[in-house]
Amino acid sequence: MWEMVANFRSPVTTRVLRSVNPSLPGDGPAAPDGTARALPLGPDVGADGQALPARSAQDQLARATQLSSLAELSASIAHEVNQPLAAIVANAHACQRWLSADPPNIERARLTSERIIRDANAAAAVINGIRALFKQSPSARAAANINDVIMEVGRLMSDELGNADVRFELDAGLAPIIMDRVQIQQVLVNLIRNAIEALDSSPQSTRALSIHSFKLGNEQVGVEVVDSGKGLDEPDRIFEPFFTTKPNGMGMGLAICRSIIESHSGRLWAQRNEPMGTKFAFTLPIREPEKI
Amino acid sequence: MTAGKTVVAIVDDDPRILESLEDLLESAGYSVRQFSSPVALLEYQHLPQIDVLVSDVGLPSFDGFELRRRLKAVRPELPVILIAGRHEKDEHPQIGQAYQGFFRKPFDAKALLTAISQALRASHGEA
Repeated sequence: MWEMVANFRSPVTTRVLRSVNPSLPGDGPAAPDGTARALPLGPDVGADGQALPARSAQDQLARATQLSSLAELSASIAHEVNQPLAAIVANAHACQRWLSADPPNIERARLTSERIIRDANAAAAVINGIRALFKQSPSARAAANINDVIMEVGRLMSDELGNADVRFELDAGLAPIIMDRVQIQQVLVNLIRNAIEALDSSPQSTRALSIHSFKLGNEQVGVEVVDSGKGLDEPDRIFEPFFTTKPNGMGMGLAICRSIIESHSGRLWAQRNEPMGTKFAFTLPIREPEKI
Repeated sequence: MTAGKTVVAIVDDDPRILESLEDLLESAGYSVRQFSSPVALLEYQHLPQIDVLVSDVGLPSFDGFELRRRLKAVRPELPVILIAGRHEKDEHPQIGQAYQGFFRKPFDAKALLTAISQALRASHGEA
């Protein structure tokens, strides 16, 4: 376990980093400089944590995947918008009938019109979510330290965090990153809020939430948000737009988070945490790769 | 039947659709029973009192087509109207073409009411 909690003064060493992450798969050798070890980052990161050159076959595969995802996304969007639209059409028709009745049933018409407003707002929220999903704003990017952003979010969420036992384990030696600060804040808020919600159903004695930042080689910074909740049944699916495990969730939050991180040339993923809970992790490049 | 009113059962896992269909059908003078899953409808003790069923296609446990098939065993004469939310019609093209009681969300509310009354007339005519 780390000794430093929300303390930026002393850098966290690789040895400490390893000791708190024994369960991560892909536990590869340390980087040549001995400062970090490999994480399971996917195909464009080598075993030494260094970014590999882009390969055309991979690019093609990625493009094909995107196209297939686009078709799935379109079907999901159609469904998510059609549900409230169907309710609106039926309610509007019913509203007309209540008003045309003899005598008019004003109370039923009023109730029905309230539902129309509610469902129209729900449809608008889906559209707003989709806008956010595709929004790119590179102009708003500037150099910032991820630890500052994490602590800002911690302060912003102090009410929501309430009495939760939150550990901030931040590597003080991280280089600044070119980022859209507000977007990265959004990602952190979303991940931390999910973690808080995941803890709601856990007994008080086992509730734990920790946020780590760390260096991955010389080119990437990693952030983990780890909760001790009941864990995810389908950690791979939770980033699909409109996939949700919450009764009232829209399923857009994590899809937007992934879109934001990927627009920063980073990666965001989730995995089961041992012995319990979920670990969300994202990486951001210290130097943004050249745009093709 | 309940107090002489025609009873329409509606099955959908989206409470907004259940609510709006209930409102629409009640505004047309029907008595409505809501079910959030096909299993809940099949286990409904007053199933014999239902006059027509309006069901979503994409449902938990099994879809609207399967519900219609299972109902054949217990209520073979029950008219069933299906409403698809995704691409179910494409997966069952033969039903989409041959089956009149098929709608896609968002559906035309007036056409749905017409289909219900036609289905009821047809089922009473056969009885």
